[in-house]
Amino acid sequence: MKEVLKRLKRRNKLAYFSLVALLFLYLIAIFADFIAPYPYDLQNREFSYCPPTRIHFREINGGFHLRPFVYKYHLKDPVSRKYEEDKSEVYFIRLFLRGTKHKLFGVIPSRDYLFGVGAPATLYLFGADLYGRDTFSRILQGARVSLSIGIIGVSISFFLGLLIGGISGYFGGKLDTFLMRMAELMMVFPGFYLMLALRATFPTTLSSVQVYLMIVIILSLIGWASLARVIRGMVLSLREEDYVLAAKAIGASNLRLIVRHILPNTLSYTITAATLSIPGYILGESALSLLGLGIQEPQSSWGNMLAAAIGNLQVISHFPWVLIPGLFIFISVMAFNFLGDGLRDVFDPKTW
Amino acid sequence: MAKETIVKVENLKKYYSVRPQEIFSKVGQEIIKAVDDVSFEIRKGEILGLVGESGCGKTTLGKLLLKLIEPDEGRVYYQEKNFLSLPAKKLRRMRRELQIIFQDPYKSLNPRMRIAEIVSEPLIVHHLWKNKERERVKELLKLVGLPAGSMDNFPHQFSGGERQRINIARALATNPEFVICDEAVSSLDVSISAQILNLLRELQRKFSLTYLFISHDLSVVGYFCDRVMVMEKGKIVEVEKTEKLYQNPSHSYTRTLFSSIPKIKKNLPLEKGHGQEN
Repeated sequence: MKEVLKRLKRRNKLAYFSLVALLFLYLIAIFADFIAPYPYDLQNREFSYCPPTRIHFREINGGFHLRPFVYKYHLKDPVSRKYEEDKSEVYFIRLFLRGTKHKLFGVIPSRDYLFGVGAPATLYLFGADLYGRDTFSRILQGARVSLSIGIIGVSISFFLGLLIGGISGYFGGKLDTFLMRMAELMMVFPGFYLMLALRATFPTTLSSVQVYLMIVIILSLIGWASLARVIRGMVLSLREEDYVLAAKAIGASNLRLIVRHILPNTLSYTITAATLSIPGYILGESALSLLGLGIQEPQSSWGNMLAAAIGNLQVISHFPWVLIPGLFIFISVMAFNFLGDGLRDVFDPKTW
Repeated sequence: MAKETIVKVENLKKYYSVRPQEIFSKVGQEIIKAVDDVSFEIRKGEILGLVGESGCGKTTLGKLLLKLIEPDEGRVYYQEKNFLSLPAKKLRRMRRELQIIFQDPYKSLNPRMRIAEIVSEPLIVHHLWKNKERERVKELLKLVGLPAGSMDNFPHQFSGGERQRINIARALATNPEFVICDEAVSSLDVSISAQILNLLRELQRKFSLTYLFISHDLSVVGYFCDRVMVMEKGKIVEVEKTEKLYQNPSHSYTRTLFSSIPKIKKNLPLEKGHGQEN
């Protein structure tokens, strides 16, 4: 594993950088409650569509501070929702402060935040949404949903794909025919409509956790088929390889043949394909959310935040920061693609 | 020289049906008789050659003997037992006695495993040399003339001849009695192939091994084997002692085969301008 990283760093800087960026995003997602300055569902109607808070070092009268500070915002024009800084008092950005009650990892009650400003000033790094909720905090919270859906979904569908493809290719015969026709049945339907149809089979009144699990299951059920077919083909040809026959001649068991000789040689493909298909899950969740079938408010995901923004063109032109979740989708999807590309090169032992 | 029989093959058959061109039609379905009712015996300690043109079923026969592909019919007796109809567990246990060395040294080693893992796999599978696998691997590598330091390298770091040595080391790991050399030297260049042949012969004498030596190269077979079987389109047409066969081939196919060996004739008349035409 260490070697793989080293090689990735040496051979493909972009992929390595993507990996670092993704690890950073995941780390942030895990500690979202603590890092975000506000609870994701904390509303502050007074600051509806408040722009990103400007961070200052120099006061209006020329006084310079090493610590960054903000001014309190107040609504100047309620019609066009223009805000103005009230420059009479500075509010320093503080580390490790106590604020509104929230739950760490959804269970541990806590009041601790990594950073923030004291009331009545507000710190909206990426602005606020219609209900005056902090976009930055919601993005961090939404990262949990959007980023984990990819990993969990890919795990499930690759488990299914490897299992079904492996069995199909190794044992062949009628079982192979049956399993592959099933896979083709899944592939016959256009993915997006299948997703909608599957979604329709679940009741609409579900808790957010249930909705989340349901989306993961839907996306994995769609994803396994194409992988199973590729794995089946690879196993089918690997099964006839001389080194597999040699291991068979040695007396190795079926399990050993599959686990030691056949599957490891599909690994470079599998890992690359897994990495490259994670964006599909992230986008799938976004698409469902965009149609209002994904994660429900007040839970946030990058998809449903974007959905809330995209409803109204006026909103986008006046308050462009509502599109920032899209930037995060873009970054993570690109990063997974670069990483997948880099891994493809690195996993070939001939390049070691 | 009535040596005891080590492997006895009876009525071995393997047919392949080639699919017809049209999907729903049975017309035009062709059956290829890769191995067609083959019976023969291999005697303990001998090197039995198997020759024939490419596509005549030599390799299929070799793989059938070890049940690497399922035969349609037939029996292979080893130690009085029909190897082919053994229950799976006993079959796997029996496999340590019968080994194979493949033709292509680039395909017969798992590219993701280190040499030590490859050579020690038979030991691990059969629970032999427990906890001393590495010492055994060292010993085997020395036996086939490879440095012990190459244990932790990957197959792609070796040349064709070296890889074939690794294959031999793996095949000999469990001290088998009978080894099939399936075109074991065909893909190597002449000097390397001579080295490997000498190694095989040396090992054969040292461990009193029995070889089935599959090859299309008649001169190699003539040099290396005690007896030679000639195969044509899935059937064995002639089995004879090497010298006898080479001096006096009785079957017409054998004669045809032998006439295909390129010979340099002396006093070949040179035609005018012959060399410049091409």
